[in-house]
Amino acid sequence: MDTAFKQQRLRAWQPILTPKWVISSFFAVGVAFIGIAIGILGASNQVQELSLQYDAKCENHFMSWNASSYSECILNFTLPSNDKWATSEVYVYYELSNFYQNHRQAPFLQLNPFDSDAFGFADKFQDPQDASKELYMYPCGLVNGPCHLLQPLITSRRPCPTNPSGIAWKSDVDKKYIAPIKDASGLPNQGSFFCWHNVSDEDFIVWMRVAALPRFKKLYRKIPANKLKPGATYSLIIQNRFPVKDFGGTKTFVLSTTSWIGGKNNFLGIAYIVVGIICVALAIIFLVKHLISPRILGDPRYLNWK
Amino acid sequence: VTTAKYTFYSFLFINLYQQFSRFANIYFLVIAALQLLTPLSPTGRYSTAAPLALVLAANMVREIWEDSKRHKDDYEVNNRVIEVIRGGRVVEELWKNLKVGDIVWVKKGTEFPADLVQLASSDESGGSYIDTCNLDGETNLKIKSSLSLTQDARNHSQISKTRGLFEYEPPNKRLYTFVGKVTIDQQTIPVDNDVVLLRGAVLRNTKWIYGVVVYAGKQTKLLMNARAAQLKMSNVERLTNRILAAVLLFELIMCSLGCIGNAIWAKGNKTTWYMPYLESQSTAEVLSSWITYFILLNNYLPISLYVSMELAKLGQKVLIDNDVEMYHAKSDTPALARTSNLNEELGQIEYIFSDKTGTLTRNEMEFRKCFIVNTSYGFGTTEIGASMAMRQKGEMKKDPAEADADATIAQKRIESNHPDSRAIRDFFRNLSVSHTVVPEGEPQPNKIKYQAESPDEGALVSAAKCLGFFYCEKTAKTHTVDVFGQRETYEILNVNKFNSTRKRMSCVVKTPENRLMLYIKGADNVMLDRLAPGQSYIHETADMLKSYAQEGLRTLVIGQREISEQEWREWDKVFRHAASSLVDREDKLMDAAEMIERDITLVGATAIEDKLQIGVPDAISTLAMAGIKIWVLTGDKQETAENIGFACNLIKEEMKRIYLLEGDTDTIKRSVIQEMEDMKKTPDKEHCLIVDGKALLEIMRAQEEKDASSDSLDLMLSFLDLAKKCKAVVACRVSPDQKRQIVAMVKHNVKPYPMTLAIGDGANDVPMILEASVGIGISGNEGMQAVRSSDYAIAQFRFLKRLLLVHGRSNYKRVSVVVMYSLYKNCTLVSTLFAFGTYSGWTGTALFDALMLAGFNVGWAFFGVIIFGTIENDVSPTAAIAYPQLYMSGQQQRDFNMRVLLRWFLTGIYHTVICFFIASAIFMNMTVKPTWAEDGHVVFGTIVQQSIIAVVNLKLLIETNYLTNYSLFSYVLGWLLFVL
Repeated sequence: MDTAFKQQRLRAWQPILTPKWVISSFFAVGVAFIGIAIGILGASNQVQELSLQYDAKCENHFMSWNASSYSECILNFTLPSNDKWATSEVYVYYELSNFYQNHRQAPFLQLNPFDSDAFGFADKFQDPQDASKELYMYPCGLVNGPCHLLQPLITSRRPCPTNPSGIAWKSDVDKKYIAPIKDASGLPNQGSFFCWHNVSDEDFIVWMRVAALPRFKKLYRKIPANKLKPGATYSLIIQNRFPVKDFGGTKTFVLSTTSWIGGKNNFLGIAYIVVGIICVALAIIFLVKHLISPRILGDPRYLNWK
Repeated sequence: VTTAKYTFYSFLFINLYQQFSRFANIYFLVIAALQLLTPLSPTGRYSTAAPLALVLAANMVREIWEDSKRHKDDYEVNNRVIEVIRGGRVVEELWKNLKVGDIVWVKKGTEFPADLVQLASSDESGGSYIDTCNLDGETNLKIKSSLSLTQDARNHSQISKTRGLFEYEPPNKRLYTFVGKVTIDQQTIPVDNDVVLLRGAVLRNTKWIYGVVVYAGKQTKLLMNARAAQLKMSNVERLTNRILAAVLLFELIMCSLGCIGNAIWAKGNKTTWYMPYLESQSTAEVLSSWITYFILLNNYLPISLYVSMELAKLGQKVLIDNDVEMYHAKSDTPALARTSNLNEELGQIEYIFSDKTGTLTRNEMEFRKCFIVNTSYGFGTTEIGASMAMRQKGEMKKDPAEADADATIAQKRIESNHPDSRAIRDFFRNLSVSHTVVPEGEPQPNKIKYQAESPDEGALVSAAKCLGFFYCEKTAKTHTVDVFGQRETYEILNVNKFNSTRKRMSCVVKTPENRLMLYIKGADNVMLDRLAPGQSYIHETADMLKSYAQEGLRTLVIGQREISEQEWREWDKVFRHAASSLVDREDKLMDAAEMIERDITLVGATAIEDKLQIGVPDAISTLAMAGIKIWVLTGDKQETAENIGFACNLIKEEMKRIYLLEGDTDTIKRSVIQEMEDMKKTPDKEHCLIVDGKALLEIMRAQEEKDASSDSLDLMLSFLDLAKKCKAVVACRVSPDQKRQIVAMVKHNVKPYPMTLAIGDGANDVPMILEASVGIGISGNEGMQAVRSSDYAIAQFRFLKRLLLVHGRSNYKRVSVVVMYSLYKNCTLVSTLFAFGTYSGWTGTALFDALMLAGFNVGWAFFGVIIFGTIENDVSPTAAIAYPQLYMSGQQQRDFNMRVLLRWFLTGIYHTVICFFIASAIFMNMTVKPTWAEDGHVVFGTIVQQSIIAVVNLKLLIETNYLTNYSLFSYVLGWLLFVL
């Protein structure tokens, strides 16, 4: 019966927020945050990033998604002369803005495309080529549009690998995105079955991982170290099949190196600096207040209510 | 007999019905149904159904566990064996098969299987002793007798030949009355409580009895009384329901905002080719997005709120039950929280209504003084008398030791043929004969033990014993007294019992000299009215009574009257008629008693001391400092009550005393108004109010009568105004029901409605204990009735201080934070879901995985708050008692109201803004590290949720003032669980 727990006599830390405590902890937190911010900004500045928005430039080269002939839109750019481009691995991203991949009614959110429920959801669609035919689309949930994006956006002549390997999550590649056996029971009848895309394509897998925000980057390729030459000029060859104009979006091509904080991220550093400065400022204000008119702790005069 | 709540078949229905009578459960059921049955859910199908099922199942498991215990007990009890007489033979029968009219044969030490009327016992005179500990907790043996017509039956065949017809009242739950009559062989006699043996009582000191079953099974008085205590709902819980309604309203507004956002966004994005359905969005679709939002945001009402609250309160109950500082070693009684519903109510008490006897005092009576003819015997002074002497600063006229003759002098005077000798003999004879005490053990003065129903009688009989009038033997009809070695046997002819209206008891006895005497004793106000006129010393006695009362002694006036044979015969008929009547028997008996209790010769007066309990003055002044108004409600005389008030620090010398004593409505009204005026003139002075039962009757007329005139309502309200301004109120000469009325009056008419607490120990306090917001029973001497109807039981009044100032205060704060924090954490989480709408076209896309969402309430942010609700202490118990002012925050509901809710809610929204928008800004501006692959929806959601869990647990950490390893562990546990 007489245990510390039951008698409310547990060893406990009962911090009293004395002015000294408050001021010093605000100060400590502030300084620490500013320190972190400096680290982050430093790392962020080390990161080399190059983005090229190309939707407007390639406007004239637009073509429909299933057109067989195409005209290439060629974008030339010069790599800045920084050694980082040569010494580290370079990540190639495509960025879209104002594109709501996270829209609840949009089909992307069927996170597991092979879920049997999702089949029900995705059952009948019009054949994109022949409106009179109904098709079971597979993988489901990807009604016409978005697959345009999967046509090669860029093809670089030499340094960029054509094979998209190592860009998707390993677990996705190994477990989730496996092409079904076509005649497996439970699948819709063979005749109208239309597997419109190779599901184990990593570009496809990356695309299927729904972006959280309407402006997002998706990894396209990795260029190993020492392939790019700083200061050299490269060409980006684009088949412009993905319309963004009617929803006010943009398309951007991004090249980036990384550091321990990931890609370039000045905002994170700035956020830390702002919070750090607020903390230090509060510490100083409290200190001044405490020096001018200190309040006695445990003053029973404050016990009077009303 | 079944005391179990459910049967095997009804369980599911009854239990579900009960669970769904809670609003929150219905709400979540609707959400779950929407999720399961419509495709509109953004958070999967089972994210509400699963936790709801978990909560319901947990409750079911608890109920099954509790009920299976009851089933087992029922089975055991129902299948006990009892011997029944059928056709002159003994047959063994199961308890459950007993029927009304069966004659049972109960042996010593056996529990009665049903309510019985005793037909005969092993004792020739038909008496038996029973122990009613199971019924009312009283441990003294009670004597019961047999029906006079059947008490001669000695064996099975005799008893089984008896044929009789019983008429009695339908089953009821009055334990102490029985109204009926029996006709055997054309003779009709009354059946009253003296011959009734209730189920639950045990036969003692008697070899066997025959009894006929009058109520069996569920109709027995024990089971009629055994209904579950009515559920009192705490103020915080009521307020919680209101707060939940407010939160629900907020949620509906948010749903509508989301729905509007959705419509506007869809309109602005009609041309988006990859979402062709936006072009032709119908009204129905817009409305369905409202339902989607409703499902998405359902967690503004935390599903775990009631569970966390109940678990935390359970923890608090354990702490109350186990507090060593509230453990009374002498009687081996710990404090007991009979309910955990009202834990936080203990922290908001504004009015305490306290009984006096047994609550403030010990209820251990000690015979102190007596007054016979014109001499006061017995000396010394009481604690209360001493405090009075202090008050008068030595102005006492005479030293009590000199003025009062030693009690032994009385003894000497008897022996020495002093002129008062006869009166002294009469006095002690009265004490030793006229009572209902049962002697137990060997008839030796040192060895005998008296089993008295009222401690006063015990004290009087013991006092007589010490002075040579040794009451040594009792049979059903006689009392034998050993007077200085000479045995005198008195035949008890009639007993007019004590009750709180009569305030007196009397016996008609036949003395050894064959004289018929009425021995009577009672409270002074009723006795003095009934004295024969023209006696000497009435004034002296009255004065002495007053001075005894000032010393805080309980006084009784002793009287007697010789009755002629003729008069008694006539009266006896009336008495028997009254006793055998089926309707209004109590009243008729009272009328009968009134007839004979007149023209009484004054014999003397007794004074009994009831000592104050330890620590009462200190507890009272501490509680008063905590802003609690204390009302002492007592049946005692004004002087006694007032002096008790002084002795226990309730009334102080410097206070102005306001008296409201008897009188009609107008007089009282005038004095109330007059006092109010006076009070305004001296605003600095503290006041106390002394009011008596008769004045209260007038004051509370408005409360009791429905069509009260506005006049009487005015009176009541102005009385309450006056009382509100007084530090203390003493109400004297109030009946049990008046006690309840007073509590009800304060509870319903003082505004804002205050929390009331009633504390008492006896059956007479039960009504007020039930009426008050919190009822406290003193578990001690005077039976268990008060405890059984109470919410909390403590052994001593002084523990009330700790119960309120330490447990009550911190429980109030704990529960407040538990509720507020539960709402806050869900607000933080769910607002994030809403905020995500800005980036998802207001379609109600869930930011988090369904499992993650469900886990939040029952996992990541669950343990910490329960530990907090159990052990948090913002100040140490010592400080809480040293600074009783700290208690006032609870009275003013500072920690739990709509404003506090708003503050927590705004904090929640603020945390949402920080967690969500900073995270999304970082995400938008960042080229993500390759190991995260892409800035995916799931990754983003997880990061945001992670930061929310860290923030809400940190918030709890900041709220915690009493940081133990347990709390730290529980906070980190939540976070760790998530990370895993």
